[in-house]
Amino acid sequence: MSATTMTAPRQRIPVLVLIAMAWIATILMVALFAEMLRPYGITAMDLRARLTPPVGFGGTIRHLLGTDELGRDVLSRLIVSVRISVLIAFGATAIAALFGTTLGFLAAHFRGLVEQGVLMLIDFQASMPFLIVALSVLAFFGNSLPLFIALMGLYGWERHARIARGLAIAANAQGYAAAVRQLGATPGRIYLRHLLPNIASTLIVAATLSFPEVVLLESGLSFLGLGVQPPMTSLGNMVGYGREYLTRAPWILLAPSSIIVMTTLSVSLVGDWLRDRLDPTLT
Amino acid sequence: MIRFLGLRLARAMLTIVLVVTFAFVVLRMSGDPAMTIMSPEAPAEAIAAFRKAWGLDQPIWLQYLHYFGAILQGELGQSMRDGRPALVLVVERIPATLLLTVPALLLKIGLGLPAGIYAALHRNSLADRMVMAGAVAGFTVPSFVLGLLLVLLFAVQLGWLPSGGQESWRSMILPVITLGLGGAGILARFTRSAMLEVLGQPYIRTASAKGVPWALVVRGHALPNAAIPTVTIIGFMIGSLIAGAVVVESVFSWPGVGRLLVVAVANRDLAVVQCILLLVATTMVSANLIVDLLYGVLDPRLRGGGH
Amino acid sequence: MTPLLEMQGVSRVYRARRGLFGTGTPVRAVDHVSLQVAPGRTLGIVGESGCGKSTAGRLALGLERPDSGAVQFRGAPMAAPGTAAWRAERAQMQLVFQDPLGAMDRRLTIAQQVLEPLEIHGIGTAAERRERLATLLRDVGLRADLAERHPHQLSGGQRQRAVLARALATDPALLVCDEPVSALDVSIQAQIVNMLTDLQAARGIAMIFISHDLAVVRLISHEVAVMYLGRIVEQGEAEAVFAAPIHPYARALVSAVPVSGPRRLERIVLSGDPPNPAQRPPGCAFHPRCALALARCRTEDPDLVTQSDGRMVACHRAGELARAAA
Ligand SMILES: Nc1ncnc2c1ncn2[C@@H]1O[C@H](COP(=O)(O)OP(=O)(O)O)[C@@H](O)[C@H]1O
Ligand SMILES: [Mg+2]
Repeated sequence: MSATTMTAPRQRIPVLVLIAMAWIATILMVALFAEMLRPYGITAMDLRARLTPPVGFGGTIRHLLGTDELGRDVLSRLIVSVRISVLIAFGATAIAALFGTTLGFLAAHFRGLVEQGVLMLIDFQASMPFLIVALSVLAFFGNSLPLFIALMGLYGWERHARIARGLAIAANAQGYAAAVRQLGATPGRIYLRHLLPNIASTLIVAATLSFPEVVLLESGLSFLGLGVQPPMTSLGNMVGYGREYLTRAPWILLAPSSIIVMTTLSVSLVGDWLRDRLDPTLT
Repeated sequence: MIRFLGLRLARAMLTIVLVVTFAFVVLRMSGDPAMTIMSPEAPAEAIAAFRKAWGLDQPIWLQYLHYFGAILQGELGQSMRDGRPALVLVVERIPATLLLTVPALLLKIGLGLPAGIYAALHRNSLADRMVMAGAVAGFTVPSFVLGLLLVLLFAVQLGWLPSGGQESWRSMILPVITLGLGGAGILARFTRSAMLEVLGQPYIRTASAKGVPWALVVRGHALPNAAIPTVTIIGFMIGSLIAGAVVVESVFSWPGVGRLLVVAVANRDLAVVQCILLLVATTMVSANLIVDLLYGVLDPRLRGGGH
Repeated sequence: MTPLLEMQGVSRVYRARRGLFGTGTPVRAVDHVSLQVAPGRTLGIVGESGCGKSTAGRLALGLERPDSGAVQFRGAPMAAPGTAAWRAERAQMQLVFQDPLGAMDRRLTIAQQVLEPLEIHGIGTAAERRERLATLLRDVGLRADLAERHPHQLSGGQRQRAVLARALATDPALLVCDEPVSALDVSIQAQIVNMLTDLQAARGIAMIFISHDLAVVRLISHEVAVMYLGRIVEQGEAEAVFAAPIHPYARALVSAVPVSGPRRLERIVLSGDPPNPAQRPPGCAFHPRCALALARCRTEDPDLVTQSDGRMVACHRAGELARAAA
């Protein structure tokens, strides 16, 4: 990024991107205030109102999005699922960014064998389908929420590692990092106070690119019954459950499905837009 | 050229070694096999005997070597569920998976490649916008959602096609479409940007400025050059022929490798999981190797250096 | 006067690696260079781009270690790069870069960056640092209100002054200026060079001033070293070298400088290709471009020999050329 892009006159934000941003904001609000927003508890059963369709399709105002087989309120489950899925995706993306950036900096700092090792790991990560690796780990270790988040956190770190390494090497070779180094700064100071803030915007764009992928991965695994476990619920988990009632109660499945699609679509749109504005070289 | 081949082969081997190491580390980290297999109340002597029999009393690097040797000889262990060799169990399932993934691959290429090229050549046209919208949908709509929507429409509502199983060729249609559509979107988007990049190069503009007919420029210069990055992604798709259908096979209850993997993971049938992991790694690495070699043919400049 | 910095027979070889296993031809960026700088004095290093000036500067500062030879600062060898001792040493010697925008962190204000060396080396209290900032900005001729600006809001000359203020913050004894004015307008070049001269007079700093621009080097240097393909080909008092260069390469460089008044040297245009450090010609490296080359120059490498006036020249014909120049 050059100074010119930073001071370039603000372009108007496309309408679609604005809508996407509004959607993301809504989702974040829902995730934050899920406990206040949900009308019922996620395990609260209303046995007299089992498989009620959503309002407008023969349902009542009591259960806006209908209920499932056990009479649990779909809207409440949806709200809590959004919270869990967003939590996992945020946690995982943050872990991936932290892990990848650290490895990238280590590679740039030590060069030599450390760098070759990191590059090898990046190659490995990029050449193996992550779903298979994730499934293997789950098979060996069993499932728990912290482990699951940590595992999702291994997704996409190589993108951050590549960026951090490339930019750090460039800055160490000529620019400000070399200048600060010869002032006598410690590596910690160079990397944390100078390099990190300077490459943060690029890293954030990279994170917006992997965020929807993590959402898809999480919901896919949960759909398969290998991710978030009941009684906890997540978007993929709900789809997996709703699949059993595809013919009788399609709303159980359609509600979380549309949230997944709208959210990944929105984040992708905003991410693409950010990338075009901030750093078109990123892939 | 020999050097180039050697380097690529060495890198492929290295990846396999990494995968085996990964499996070994995960296996060892996931708990003491003696404790997992034997009950905790087993007498200490029995546990010691078990450790000796399985070589668990040896230094870790020796265990690693033994593990490596066993895998090289194709000893991949037995399924914990029915006691049959894991390898047999997995290989049995491969044809069913290929029955889905190969037609899906053809669909991806047949749909994605022309769409991407067309979109790039008619940039900003309505067709381009539609291709891009489709491409974005292709990777933001998860395959299980797409699959279930297709089932809802064609099996439940219209009743035209079966919703799962493997009775006739008609049960293949929905899973193949589900797999193919998403991939086609990704491929179209990729091809389009590769084409646009090439079309923006000075030599293309020079050629067309010199009066070379546009169609010739496209066929003679743009397409071959755009093929180079596109081959990578197709290589990745070929590499995932065996494992690319995990989710879709589950949606459609299709008895392939992916379904086997999900069941094995749920049952913690480690031998089967490990076997599939190695199989996937091998296909992936082989596909990458072939792509790398193809690169060498497509782009002689790459033959020289290491990266 | 004992030198503050002394380099003895220092060499630095870069091996450009291609790929993971490839090996390129080694490049002797600096080859057997010996230099001294005393407090309050300026050594100019001149030569074409790629002749190893910057590498020599980095070696002088101990930013890289020589492959052979020794660098001594205040009579002692320098600490290994990256160690705590090495970092502490940085307070005593500083580098000024050609590209001031690249040398600054674009996200921090001028004040933050000028004070950074004091933070790093733990010098002074907050109040003392603030005072120090005002002094430093005044010394380099920057208005106090620019302190809160960011680098891209300053002009090129102001940025270089800010970089200089940062370099001076810890009161270093040695300053290496690597093409400090090459990126600036000619009118501003003179201002910066004058300021450097004043600062040196006031603080007794030893300076190495690197440039490919002889006119600038002449303004500021007490001594000068002319480099060609990693080696020093002529070194001596700046006045003597600029008035009557002996080495044919130095003559060519000096003759190319526009001067007012009658010319003493006739303009010598360098012929042949600019040098490629990866393919050093045998014999005297300059012989393919030298109008005065003898058969001997093609095979025999000349040593750097001290002439009667104390100047050192590496040329087989130095003796006769010196007599002719006198
Ligand atoms: N870090 C490095 N790695 C490899 N080669 C280098 C490096 N730094 C400089 N060189 C090479 O050393 C030679 C001298 O470079 P340099 O000292 O920058 O010259 P100057 O400053 O006179 O232009 C050049 O050929 C350059 O390519
Ligand atoms: Mg230089």
